Amino acid sequence: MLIRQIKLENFRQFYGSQVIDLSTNPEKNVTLIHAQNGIGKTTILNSILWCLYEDTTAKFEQREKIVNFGAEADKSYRAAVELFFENNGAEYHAKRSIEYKYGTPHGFETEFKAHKIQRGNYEELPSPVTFINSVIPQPIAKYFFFDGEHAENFSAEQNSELVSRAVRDILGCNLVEQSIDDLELLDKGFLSAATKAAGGEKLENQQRALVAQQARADEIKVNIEELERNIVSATGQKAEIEKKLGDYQASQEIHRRENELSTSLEEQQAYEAKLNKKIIEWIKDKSLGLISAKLSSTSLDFIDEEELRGRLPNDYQETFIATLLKAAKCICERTLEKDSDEWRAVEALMSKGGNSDVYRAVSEARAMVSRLETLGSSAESSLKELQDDLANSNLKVRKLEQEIGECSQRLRGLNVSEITERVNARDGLTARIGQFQEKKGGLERDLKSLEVEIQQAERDLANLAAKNKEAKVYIDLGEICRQSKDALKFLLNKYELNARELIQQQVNDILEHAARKDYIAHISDRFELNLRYPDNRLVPKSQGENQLMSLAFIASLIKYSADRSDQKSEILLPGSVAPLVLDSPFGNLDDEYRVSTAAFIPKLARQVVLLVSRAQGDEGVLSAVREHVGAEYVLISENKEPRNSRPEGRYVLNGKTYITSLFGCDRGLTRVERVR
Amino acid sequence: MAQLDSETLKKLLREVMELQRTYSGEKRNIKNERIEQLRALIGKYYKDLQDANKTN
Repeated sequence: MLIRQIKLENFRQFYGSQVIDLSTNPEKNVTLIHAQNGIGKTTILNSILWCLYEDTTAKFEQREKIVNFGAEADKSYRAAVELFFENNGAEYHAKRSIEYKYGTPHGFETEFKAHKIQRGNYEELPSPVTFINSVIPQPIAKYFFFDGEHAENFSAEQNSELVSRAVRDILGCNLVEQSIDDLELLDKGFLSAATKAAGGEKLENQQRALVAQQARADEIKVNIEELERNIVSATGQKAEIEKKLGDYQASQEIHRRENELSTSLEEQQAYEAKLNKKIIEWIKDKSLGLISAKLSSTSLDFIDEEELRGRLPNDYQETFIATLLKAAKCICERTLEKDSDEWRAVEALMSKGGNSDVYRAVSEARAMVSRLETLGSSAESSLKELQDDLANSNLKVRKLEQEIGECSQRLRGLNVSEITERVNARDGLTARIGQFQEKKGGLERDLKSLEVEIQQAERDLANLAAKNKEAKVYIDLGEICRQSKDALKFLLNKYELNARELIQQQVNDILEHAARKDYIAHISDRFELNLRYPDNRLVPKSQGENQLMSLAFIASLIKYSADRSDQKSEILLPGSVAPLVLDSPFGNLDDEYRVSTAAFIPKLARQVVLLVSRAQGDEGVLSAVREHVGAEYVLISENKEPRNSRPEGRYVLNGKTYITSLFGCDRGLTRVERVR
Repeated sequence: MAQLDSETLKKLLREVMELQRTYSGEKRNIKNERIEQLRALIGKYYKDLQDANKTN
């Protein structure tokens, strides 16, 4: 089924005639409808359900008031919804209309017609309800025309009834279930007739006793189911507490690690202190060598050069000059006249002449400068080693400090004071689970013995009745009913098991693409739908992942229905390929999940209608679906009242600004405006 | 005790489901009528079973 057009006429808040052409383009299969809350998104969803089945979603308010109030004020008491759609290659038209007989919703008439359209001619179908049910059986329609705000119901604490119903609906079990109920009713009727035919007080008493036993057995079964739900719930709570206690155990591990790191930090800091001390020692011992490297090198060169030239000390030694003066002779053998210029010149040499003290001083200076030079040559490399060690040590200290900081942060996140409380709660739950299981075991034993008693009573009753010919006929008729009923139940269970596995697999396929972590959805034997971590712990029901799981479950039902659309079954209703109309599907999902969910929605069905508020259809969501959008609308609310301080609702869509709440208008209504 | 063989049981189930389909859809409040039809169907199979037992 592909819906081409929805036409609303005075339907609820849509005054006059409003038309929505849906995208039928397979590449751009999404029709996006924007609206503020309370303007008419859910009404559009319900207009389809109302047109096809005269039905609405469970929480659709004031469902009996169909005709637009403005139209009523104009004394027009008629409303209608028309759908133009394609199914299996043929074109159809369905129209449901309502008319208030007395001008109020208290008395009304509805009319439903369906036509096949051939070359512009409308050929009325003789059985429009049967036809519509062959296109989309009513029991499964609610999964295709889906109010997303109720998606969380599938992840509710006790969801087995809803999940089981959904799987059975989508499997097309409704007629089988009805058959089983009918056969059961007939069986009871035959047994009762057998009892009457056989007569006798004893037989009647036995039958009354049997009915009472069966009622008691049913009651026990209900109690067992209740206990099982309690056990599942308590086990889930216990798993959550154990996870938190596990976090506490993890905190002990973090604390131990923090201690180790602190010890390492202390050691590293001590080592760093030693390095600093060594550097101070280096400065004391070796810095002079490095600083005076140039000086010592120059000094040695100078000393060596001067020594080489014999100037250090001077060329003339004191004793030699004294000898010359005493002998009054120059080196050149000339006589030195006392107080002559030559005498005074030689005598002047005495002040510069070298002696043993000068030699010793020069020698010591030379040795010292040599030592400085040696010191200088090794100082640089030893300083570099120390500096490298210090830099490494600094790095280690910083890393250790950072790790310790992280440990502290994680420890701060754990509220240790709650731990005792949690341990008590866990122990309390363990005790409760034990009590539930004990009680359940007792009830199961009671049920087993009651069932044996019932079987015996049935046999006794049958034996007594069998003595009467007429009663025996009824007993045999009842037996045929039981055989048929049991065979149908067996088939139903087989189909259900298969459906459950396929749907569960499909949910997990979707989660694998859409969820941030590895989650595993599981549908239990009792049809409880749960989300688990890979280590089998339950994901708390309050989390967004469960909303995601609910949407994935709906998507899986739709896919399963489509897969079944061409399967012929003698007992099951066929599946459907139908549009998916989703009203506010994102619920409490966070921004990231909204985007990933929006990205997979266009793939869920051949045609998708997405009804979103501003919060639901934020920029991330719009970006994720934009390439699939083939038609886009915005709902505009016109109000008679003045605006005062109310928001006007401004949307910028496709480059154009739309004011979605207009005030001071002639009448109150909602109208549809096409964006593209 | 009346016991249907598997082929007869399958045939009966097909007819039961056909009856259900016939009564689904258009008609409302037809439970009693549907049950009566089902009773008649079960009666027919019982009679066939009796006839077959007599023949054998």
